[in-house]
Amino acid sequence: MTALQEIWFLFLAVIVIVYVILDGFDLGVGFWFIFAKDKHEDMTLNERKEIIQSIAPFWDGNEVWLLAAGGILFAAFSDVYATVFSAFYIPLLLVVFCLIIRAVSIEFREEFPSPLWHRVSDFAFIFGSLGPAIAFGVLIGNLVQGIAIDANKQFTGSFVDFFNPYAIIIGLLALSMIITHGAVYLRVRATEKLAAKATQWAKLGIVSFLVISSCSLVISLLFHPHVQNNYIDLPILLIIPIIGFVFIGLTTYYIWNEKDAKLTFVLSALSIAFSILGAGVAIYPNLVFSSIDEAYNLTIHNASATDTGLLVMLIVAIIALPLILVYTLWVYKMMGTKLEDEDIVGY
Amino acid sequence: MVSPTVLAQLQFYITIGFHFIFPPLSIGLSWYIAYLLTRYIRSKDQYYKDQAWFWIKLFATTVAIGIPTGVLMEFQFGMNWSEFSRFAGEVFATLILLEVFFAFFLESVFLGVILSGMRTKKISDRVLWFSSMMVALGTTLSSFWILAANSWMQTPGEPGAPGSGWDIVGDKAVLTNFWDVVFTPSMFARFFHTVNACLIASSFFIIAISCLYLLKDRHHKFTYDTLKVGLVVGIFLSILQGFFGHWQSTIVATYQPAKFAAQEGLFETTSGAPLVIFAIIDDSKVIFEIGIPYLLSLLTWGDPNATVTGLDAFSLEDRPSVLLSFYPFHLMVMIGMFLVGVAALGVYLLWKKRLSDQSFILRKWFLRLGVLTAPLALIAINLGWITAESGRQPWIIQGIRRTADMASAAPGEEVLFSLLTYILTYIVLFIAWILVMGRIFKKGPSTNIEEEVLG
Repeated sequence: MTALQEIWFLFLAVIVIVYVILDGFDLGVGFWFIFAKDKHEDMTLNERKEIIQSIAPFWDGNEVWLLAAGGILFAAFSDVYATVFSAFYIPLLLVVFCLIIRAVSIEFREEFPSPLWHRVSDFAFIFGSLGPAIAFGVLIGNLVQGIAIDANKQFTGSFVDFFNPYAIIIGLLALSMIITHGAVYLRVRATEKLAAKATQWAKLGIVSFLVISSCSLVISLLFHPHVQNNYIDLPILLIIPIIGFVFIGLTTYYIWNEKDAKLTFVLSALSIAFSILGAGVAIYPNLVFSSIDEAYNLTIHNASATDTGLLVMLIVAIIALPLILVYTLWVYKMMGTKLEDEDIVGY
Repeated sequence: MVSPTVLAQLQFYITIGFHFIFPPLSIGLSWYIAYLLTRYIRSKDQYYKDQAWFWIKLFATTVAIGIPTGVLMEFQFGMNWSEFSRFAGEVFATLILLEVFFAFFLESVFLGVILSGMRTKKISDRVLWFSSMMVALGTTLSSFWILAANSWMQTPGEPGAPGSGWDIVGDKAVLTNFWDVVFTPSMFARFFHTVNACLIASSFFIIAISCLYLLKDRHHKFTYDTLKVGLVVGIFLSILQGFFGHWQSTIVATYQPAKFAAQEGLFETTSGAPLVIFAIIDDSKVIFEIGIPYLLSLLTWGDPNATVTGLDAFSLEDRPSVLLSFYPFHLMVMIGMFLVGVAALGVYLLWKKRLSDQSFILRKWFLRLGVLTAPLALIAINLGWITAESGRQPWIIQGIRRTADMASAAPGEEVLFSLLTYILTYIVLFIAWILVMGRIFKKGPSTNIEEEVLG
């Protein structure tokens, strides 16, 4: 029971936020990929190729943030990692499968010029991008709603339990969040023609996000009132969701009025950050709720590593994270310039 | 019905065994690419950049499969081995976390720079070179941390004892001293032995590609230059591997005597033990064997009459499978010696200029042999890993926790379903990998990068 557990809860939230912001856009573009057109051997219409190329320098590095989040759970909150990963066996199998076929489709798409291969590869990219997004949403939904965890921190339910209405709504929420973010990203990075399309896509995205997020907020407050506890105990914390609403409002305004693309992206990222932070405050100090008895909840206090372990990890993180952020930002600055028509090569 | 634990073990073997084809190549190729780019930066000779680009493409193809199949690993500990994760997370996963923070990020972020940069030509030579160094550093650091984690499972020491760096509190492994856990007794030997094996496999991969081109009579200058580097590095490292291998065997004999007895096929504790060269063996007895008297004692303890512990010193439930330790180990050693032989022959033929001599009758045979070395080297690495892991059984953490107690409660059908999914996916991936490499090979190292990017 020390500040270290709180610090790691915060760190976990930060890593998840960075993951959703970064990998969010490259998974999100997978949705718009469905509507993008690619004509074989026609250099004037290769939107799909362009979409892949727009994320090509970054997607792999972005995915490592997922591994970082997983690694933190594994090391700092081993019980959560063990219980959740074995409980969500089938959904996580699907996630891994998606990530594998997606990686191959990105790297190998242009290796074979056959139209049949492109159809297979494109399907893999779409499925591989949207699958994990929905699955992670469903996972979060279940963790908030509660899963059957007994006194021994063991999951006693079956994987069929995971497909319940609330979790599916949260899955859709995650999807709408990242497709909006993906479209916003394309506005920044893509060539003029595709960026113009992406501007319209972003409008569709933000509308879907506003609808689904309002619904899920109301449902969460009504059916899972435990998410209100921290805010009732310490109303000052409401500042976080309020800032979140402001950023969501600004993002909507910027998307709707087709304002500066880069600033829109920053606003979209901040909306994501504060939404997740707000959810984090709501569940603290729990990481997973038990649907059997709230005494069995997995919290940062009963599921964490010892202070020595947490301190070692903290030192590691304090040394590593600034380094990672510096070179990641440097690479984004260098490789993230707006694409020109003649840039659409190779990929 | 096979027990879920056995299925989970099988899945672990298959998924890591498949994954382990790729990192050895990425470790070696990344350093080779960094070397070529260093020469390019120094000489400004486009020839080196063209070469680098050719290997970058093969490297990228390899990494494209290596990375996502590796992502699975981090998930798999929780999915299939939840009780291990619960017990060991604080110690074991701290090392995994270090791998993520200090290796994966470096490798993945800079790989993106190299690939996109080379394709769009938007980065400077210095950035390209720097990125290649970072990727090479990342792949190597990655092996360091994952091998540190594995070494802890092999030679964890006594919990709570001074110098072990960890303890058991309640039912959990907890850290007491980080550096002690990183540098367990088997860490250095394992690191040098394994990374050297990876570099050797990459050398033979380079040799194999060169031999293929010679068989097709293409790209002579490129091929001879490459072959020279591959053979010289390959033979040097393969001989060095004899010492690293010996070092690691000594460590195994000291810290994991049951594994040592199993891999050497020694059932009875013997003084003046022979080194078994060939044997027909099953899990309970030797049926037929050829050995060199006294050599095992001499090699292991420096004394021909020294006593070597046999499997009889361990109760039945503490013994590893001899079949899964002895044969992989001996096959690995045989392949290793065979590779030294091929490399030596290659150096000799190259030196005598016989490889460029079309009239030399055995030329083609040697080249075919050269092509064969790449898969053999990768198989040897897999065999070495199987020896290390099978020999540790029935323990998941040597002497601390048994594998059978550490699996998830996930139902057998779910594990079976995932096992089949992976097998099917991996077959497809492997075919795709070979096909894409075939295309890159066919295109060959371009002599003019401009032309290629536009075309």
